Amino acid sequence: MSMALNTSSGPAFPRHVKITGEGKRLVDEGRGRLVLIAMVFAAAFSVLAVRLIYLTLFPAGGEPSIARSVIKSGAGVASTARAAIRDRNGVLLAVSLPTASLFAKPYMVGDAEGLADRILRILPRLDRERLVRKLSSGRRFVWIRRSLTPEQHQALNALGEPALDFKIEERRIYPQGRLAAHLVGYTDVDGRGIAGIEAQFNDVLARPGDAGRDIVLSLDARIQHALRDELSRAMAIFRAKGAAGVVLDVRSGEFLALVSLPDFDPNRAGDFSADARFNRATLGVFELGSVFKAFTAAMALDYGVVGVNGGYDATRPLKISRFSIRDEHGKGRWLSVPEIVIYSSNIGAAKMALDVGGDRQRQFLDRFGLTKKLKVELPEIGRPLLPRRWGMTETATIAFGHGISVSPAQLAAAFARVVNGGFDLKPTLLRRKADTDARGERLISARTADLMRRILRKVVTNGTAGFADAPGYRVGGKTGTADKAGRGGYNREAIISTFAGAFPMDDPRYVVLAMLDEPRGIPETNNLAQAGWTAAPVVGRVITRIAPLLGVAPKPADDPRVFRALKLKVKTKEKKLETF
Amino acid sequence: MKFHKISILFLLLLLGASYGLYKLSYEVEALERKLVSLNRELMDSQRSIRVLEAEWSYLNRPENLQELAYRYLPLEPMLPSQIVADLGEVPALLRMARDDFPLPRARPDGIRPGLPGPRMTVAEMRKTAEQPVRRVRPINARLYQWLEERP
Repeated sequence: MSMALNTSSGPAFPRHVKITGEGKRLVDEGRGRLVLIAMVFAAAFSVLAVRLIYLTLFPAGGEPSIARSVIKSGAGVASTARAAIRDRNGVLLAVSLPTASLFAKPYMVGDAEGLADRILRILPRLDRERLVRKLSSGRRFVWIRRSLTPEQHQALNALGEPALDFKIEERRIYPQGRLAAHLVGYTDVDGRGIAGIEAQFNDVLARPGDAGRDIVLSLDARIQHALRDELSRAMAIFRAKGAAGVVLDVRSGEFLALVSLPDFDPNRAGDFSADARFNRATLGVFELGSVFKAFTAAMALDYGVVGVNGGYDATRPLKISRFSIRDEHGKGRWLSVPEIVIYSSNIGAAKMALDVGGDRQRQFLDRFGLTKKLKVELPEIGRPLLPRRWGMTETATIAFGHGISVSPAQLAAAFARVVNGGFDLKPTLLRRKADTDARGERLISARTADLMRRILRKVVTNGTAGFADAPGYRVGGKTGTADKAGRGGYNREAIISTFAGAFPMDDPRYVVLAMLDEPRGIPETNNLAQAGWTAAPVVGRVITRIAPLLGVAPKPADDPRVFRALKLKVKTKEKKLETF
Repeated sequence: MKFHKISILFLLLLLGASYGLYKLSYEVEALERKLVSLNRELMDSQRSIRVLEAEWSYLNRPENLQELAYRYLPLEPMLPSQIVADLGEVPALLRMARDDFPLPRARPDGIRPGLPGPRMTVAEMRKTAEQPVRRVRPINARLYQWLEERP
């Protein structure tokens, strides 16, 4: 760069320098550039300053969440324990608790026998010989007992023995024990759910987060207990192999109780047989017998193949190919449609179904969810067994519930669709909002649904299920006694007795189902094990116990409103209209 | 000297700001320590609550309550005829009640804990109802006395 300096005065250091010409232009340009740079920097810093002031004085609202996320990642309040499972009223069904496990450092033990005796005073169920052997092994680490109770922990700690120590572990506890064992399920040693709700919602339960992420079931512990209590009582009386029961809200679709017997203690599920852990209510599929006549009648009435005053001749057994369908204690006369259901006539039901036809029967059962797996939040769901060929014989036998196997829970859901006014229903095991009406599209006409309600009430007042009545609660339903299919045909000694009931029948709210697997008659039942003698009384007793809990008020039988809602004229004689 | 004055002012500002900053950062640190200890306490409490809740749930198993009630309370399962939703229904409910229905207990003063009270049937109760009514003694006589004595 060239510069022209013009010194005006002063010998060595001139006080003022004047630049002119080309030099002045260059200096001015340099100054201009400096100013420009200074302005750019000033502008940038002002932006920062303004932003800083803005952030400090006007919080954007996102800060609390940022702060919380920092807390969570550090020493926060978020619980890492597996979330709890509760019933609809908040009763704990499954919870993870820190428990202390006792271990010893045998190399530090001096007097093994003395120490063993002191431990045995607190844990008397340990084997003394094995304990002494463990303590005198000289190893560095040996487990004595996993999962101590708080009292045992404290007592052992108070021994002050340096060779003993504790390890704190999370353990899954089921405070209600067997109450809802099949439904809640259980976890493996590492705390992963491997059955029931524990398995179905494993990811949700295992995700760390706030305390409010517990899973709330639709189940009511009190109702579950009443059902389990009555079923186990009946199981003992009739020496049955197993039992299953369901209570279902026909409007909200919530399962209030789901019982399978024999059951197990999920706190030590490994100690029980596979049979005890098998969920008969949802995984087991059974031929449930005459309960299906309710669907057959609804189907025939809804398709209009027969009127409520129409009927069929049931005097003679019905022969289809090589099979012969007969009635157990037939009336031996013409029966109207309500009578076929009330007296449970196989012949009448088969004839009705044949009039409807196999294809339409299949479609109808499909709509009621009896041909596909039940959709509910459990991994243990049984697939219904359908005939490979749906011919005349199958149509006739399915009419009274043979040749088709479904799970009790599935049957209860289908039954709910008949009595809830004829609407589809999505059943659930999770609590829904109070007074939810989860009824979907209409499946049968309002008239058919109304007739079925009245007919099912008559089954209890006049038919096979007299013992299901709970005075005041207007119970209705259908019995089903099915011979169990065994090797080479049906076994007449081994039966499945089922009663699917609903109450109050003038405005049905709940379905109660009881099933007994191979009940045997007792002298008090004239040695009969039919559903009317074994399963029906269970439902009656359960309803007497749970109706007050569910807020269903008892009403006397002569209440005019009840009477009007349940009135049904049943034809007993065929009216000949045709003249030949 | 203008320049010096400004320097002193800035120096003071610097001192003030750094004091404030240090004080603030110490305060924050103390608060963080407090937060950690509070969080730990909270987690301990939550754990205790879980343990206590589990114990509560265990002791309140319906099975257990049923057993205890059966053993210690002179009560029996409720019958439909004993539930009155509407007073107008009473006559009908009485018709519904069979004569041999046991009533849970005879009279309030007949109860002793641990012992089933004397039982009474509907028929007996109807007979008692026809007798003149005894004057009911207040539950806590002293409480009533105190209420009356008050000026």
